[in-house]
Amino acid sequence: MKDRTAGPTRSRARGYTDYLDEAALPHIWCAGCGNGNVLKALLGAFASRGLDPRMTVVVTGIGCWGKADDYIRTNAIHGTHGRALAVATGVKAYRPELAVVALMGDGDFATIGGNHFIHAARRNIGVTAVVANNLNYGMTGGQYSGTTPAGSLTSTSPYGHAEEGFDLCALAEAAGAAYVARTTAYHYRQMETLIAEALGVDGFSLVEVLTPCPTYYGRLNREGSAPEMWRALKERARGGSFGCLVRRDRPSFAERYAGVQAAARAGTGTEVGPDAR
Amino acid sequence: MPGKDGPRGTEGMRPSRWEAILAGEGGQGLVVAGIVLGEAAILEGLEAVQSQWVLGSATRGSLSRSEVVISRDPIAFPRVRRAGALLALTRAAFERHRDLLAPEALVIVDEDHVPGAGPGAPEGVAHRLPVVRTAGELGLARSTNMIALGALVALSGVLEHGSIERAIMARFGAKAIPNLEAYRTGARLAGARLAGAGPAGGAGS
Amino acid sequence: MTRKAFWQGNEAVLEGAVAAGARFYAGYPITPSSEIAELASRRLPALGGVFIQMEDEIASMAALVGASLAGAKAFTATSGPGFSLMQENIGLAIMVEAPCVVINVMRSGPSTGLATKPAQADVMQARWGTHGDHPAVALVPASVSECFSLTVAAFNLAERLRMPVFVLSDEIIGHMRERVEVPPEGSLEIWERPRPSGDPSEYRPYRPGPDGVPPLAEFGGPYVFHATSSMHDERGVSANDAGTAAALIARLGAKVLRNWELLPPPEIVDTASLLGSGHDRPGKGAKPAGGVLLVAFGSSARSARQVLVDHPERFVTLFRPRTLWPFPEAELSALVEDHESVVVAEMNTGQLVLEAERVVAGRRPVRAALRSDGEIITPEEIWEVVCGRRDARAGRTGESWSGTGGSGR
Repeated sequence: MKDRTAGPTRSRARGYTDYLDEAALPHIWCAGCGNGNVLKALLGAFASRGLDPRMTVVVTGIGCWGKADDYIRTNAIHGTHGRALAVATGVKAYRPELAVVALMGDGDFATIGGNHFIHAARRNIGVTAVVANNLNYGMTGGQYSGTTPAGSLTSTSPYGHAEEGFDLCALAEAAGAAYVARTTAYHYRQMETLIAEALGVDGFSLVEVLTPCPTYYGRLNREGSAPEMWRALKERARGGSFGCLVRRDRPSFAERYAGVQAAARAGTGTEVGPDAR
Repeated sequence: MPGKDGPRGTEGMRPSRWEAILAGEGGQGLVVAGIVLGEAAILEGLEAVQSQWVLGSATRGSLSRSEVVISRDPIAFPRVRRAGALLALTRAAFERHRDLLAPEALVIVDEDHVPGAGPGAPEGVAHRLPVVRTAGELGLARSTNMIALGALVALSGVLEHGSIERAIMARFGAKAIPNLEAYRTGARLAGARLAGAGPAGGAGS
Repeated sequence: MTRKAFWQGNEAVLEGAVAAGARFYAGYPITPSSEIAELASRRLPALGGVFIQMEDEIASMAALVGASLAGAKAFTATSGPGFSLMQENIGLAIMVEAPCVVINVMRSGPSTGLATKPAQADVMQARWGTHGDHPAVALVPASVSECFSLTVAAFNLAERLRMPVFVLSDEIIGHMRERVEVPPEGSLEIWERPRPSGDPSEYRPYRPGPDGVPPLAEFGGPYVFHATSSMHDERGVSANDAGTAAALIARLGAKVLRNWELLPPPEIVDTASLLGSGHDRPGKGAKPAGGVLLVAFGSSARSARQVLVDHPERFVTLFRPRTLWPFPEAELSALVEDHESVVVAEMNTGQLVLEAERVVAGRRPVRAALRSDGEIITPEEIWEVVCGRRDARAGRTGESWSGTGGSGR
């Protein structure tokens, strides 16, 4: 499998603080939330890949995890709700040499942006999606999302949720992602390793991070205190379907489109446009 | 001859506007015929606007219409108001557009597809030509449009044959030869009918 | 050398975009704009550019923002339903000040409407379609030639002003063919976005230059920057305070108004100037009685111009905006009192007429010639209103329900 960040960009040893905007701290996330861990693992992965901040673009959506760009010292676009992958696709399609990372929650990625998710995976665009899945909309008060399990209590499912949630990794695999992994905010080392692996993938990569929302989801569903939720996450990861789940060679959008550009320069192609009618 | 009032024939008079409708079935290529007509007008230094639409949801087989306005002066309203010429290759194409005809308009219909008598037949004098049949007989079915265009230009005198042929060559490039052949066939077909018993097969004949 | 082309309106748009330097297209096919996508898919890759057909128009507009900040001159083309979906990220482009061009080949609505038929009913959507206070720039070609030249102008304005710029074409202009004098390559005036210079650590992506527009770096260059859809300060860092919000909203609007002279001016033509000498017309200061100031844009302006051709005996001045937004109000206002009435012709139930009434401000009666059935408005329909025999909004004909505003608001 091609590793797009190996080589010249690995200029010097870096640490996660090279990418962290410490002046923007403290962060806004609640006590007991996993997003801080995910952020540190993300930036640690940047460091282990030796990413050049000038050649890196972080695109975020709207939600708790969508605020992560506030603390990151690379290029960034904080976009609209659910559209981070579409914005990232524009960046990557035009400048394939940039490392493009999309940070989204389960609302952004699996719910309002679900269409962009499956199509980004299908076209195998070289964007790394790091999705913090806390099973509900934390920022707006704990409403249900596309990953909320059936029966769950949320602020919009007070009688128990009437729908099933997505299995994001299975969906990503079916849609064609080149790399799919799942971990939890508890498993810091694994998280950093998987994100770093994903950053080396030429096509579309997803790292789903299960993360607790003690403020809303945990409280409403009587999952106990924040430490209890963290312990539950730790246990849950022993149940399988964690770590790298999919890793396959598929030509990326950039690779295939380079072929399109070459064909266009050579003047091949079918007649299109008004004259062909 | 109706075509005399075209854009080249009214020097010094305003407005010098000539409007034509080329109609038939989608797939007959009349849109391209209209485009070639417009391009030839541009080559002669005239103004031209070509518009088109398919009246129906299918690309093939629906009623298709290509409009061309040619003028010595800038063209304001881009669509046909009163057509000075109508070329119709199907009965539906004729019936749909007969109300748009100017008095004394040039009417060319396909003699096998538009009835010569009875309801739905053109009133007054129409040129009835075997456009579609000729294309089939000569193995130029894909150039039906150019045969039709040849007849339209020959009978209207709206533009020089030379400019049409230049436009055909520019548009079709390597595929220009069969299209030129078809265009000349159409022009000859019309010329032969003119030289013969006048507008061949006028209404009721 | 200038060459003559017989282009379709949509084709001229694409050629104008390419000539202006466009190298990124993200879109979703929709009648009657699809020829632009088809041609872009063919042309851009040969130029080293990128065409990508996105999953919907929401994504298309989002991708434009991403590519634009990565340095591309980016554009898309759509029609009513797609323009509706784009509104969300048009707001994003406005907020992050990402230059891009959106072509809307207008068709009949609402909703699917008459998918293959023309309308001009997105006038107000182009101005206010995305939520919140924001500037809008919309150019309106009335010929195939202008589909080319105003698309070039749209890119120039988008880059110079760092914002999305709309080209509102319609099915008639988009699908008709007409002569275009194509300027030789390299002869066009092409504007680029303002670029930063100096120490990258000092770069402030939202600190305005002298014309109110901040210099824009591109991803992958020496400058690292942050763009956000949230209210933000000069560093592009989100800020919730009232002062920051007020300053940003004010600057976004002001950057357009203070660069007013860059916007394509209206065409003003009367019967005498249209038909040349030989038509006696009193000189300035002695306007004949009964003069009508006719306001129309896009394909309606073609019908309006035909009224002048058909009736050289009548004193009619055609005021044809090339820039619909911001509306050329000073130019229109200056003409009002030379005429006895104002007539607005448009293919909708009365949108631009509201703006005309605002400018006329009760000084003269305003009448409207309107059509919204998917057919082109005809010169005859406009003439009836010019003559005062009809007014689509007077409530007498029963043909329009949009007359509640009245001219004396």
